[in-house]
Amino acid sequence: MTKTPTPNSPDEQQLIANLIAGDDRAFCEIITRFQHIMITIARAICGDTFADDVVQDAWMAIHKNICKFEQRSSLKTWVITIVSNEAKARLRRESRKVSLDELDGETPGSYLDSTQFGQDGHRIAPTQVWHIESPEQLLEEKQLQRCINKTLSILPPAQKAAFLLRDIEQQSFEDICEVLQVSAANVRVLIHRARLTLMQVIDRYQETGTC
Amino acid sequence: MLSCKDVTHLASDYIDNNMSGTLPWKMRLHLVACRCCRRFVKHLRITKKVVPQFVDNNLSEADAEAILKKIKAPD
Ligand SMILES: [Zn+2]
Repeated sequence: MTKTPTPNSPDEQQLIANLIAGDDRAFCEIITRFQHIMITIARAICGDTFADDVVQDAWMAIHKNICKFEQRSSLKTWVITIVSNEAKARLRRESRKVSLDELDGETPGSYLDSTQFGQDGHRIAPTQVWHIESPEQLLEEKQLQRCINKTLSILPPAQKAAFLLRDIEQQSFEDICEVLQVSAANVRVLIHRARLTLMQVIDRYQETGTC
Repeated sequence: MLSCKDVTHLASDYIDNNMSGTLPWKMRLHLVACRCCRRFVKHLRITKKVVPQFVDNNLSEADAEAILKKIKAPD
């Protein structure tokens, strides 16, 4: 994982000290923070059937091994590595293969749909104009927030995992490849597709004011 | 010369600075000439900036406590 040492902030160091001391409140805090990304990673690697189990096992491993955490990476990176390893191990045990069919084909009506382009690769229809372009103003739109979160919840698992790891958790592309066991090129495609799906939500919202 | 289709496929690599060789230059060349793709890339940048701030992935305290209970006493 991350090769350069990531110095943990003072707050983070205090949290780690509390975790090592066995403080339940501190442990609840990291569950609150990381449960969602952990489930997302587990689903992307070994599918829905085993995800809950894998995350439970990962939490038990974290609880048991937190005293050995040497802070060579951030707490987040460490936690992500543990759940990723648990999920990969489960996948091997069940000798299953999860195919990344999310990478195949085109979603009709998406920006990448080839019917959007002429034979020469030029756009057939102009890009929609947004009447709200300022991020600050967009962030005021509560209905848009609901639409985005709804779409995020139904994104294909690997797209969602790659997107969350990159755009929310700020993990490096290199780390994401390792966590999800996907090639660099495929990680980039997954992130791009997720962003485009979310951009389409904003498109629709700009036009109709609804999801 | 890149087409609009190429630009649409490469837009995230462009805004993430994940391009090498002459590709960034070819992208810029297309964007100077094509207003639609310019708007497309601009909207993608806005999306990348705004969406993470909309996302609330934190679990409720009660749910976290239930998980902790399970970790400490697995059945
Ligand atoms: Zn164009």
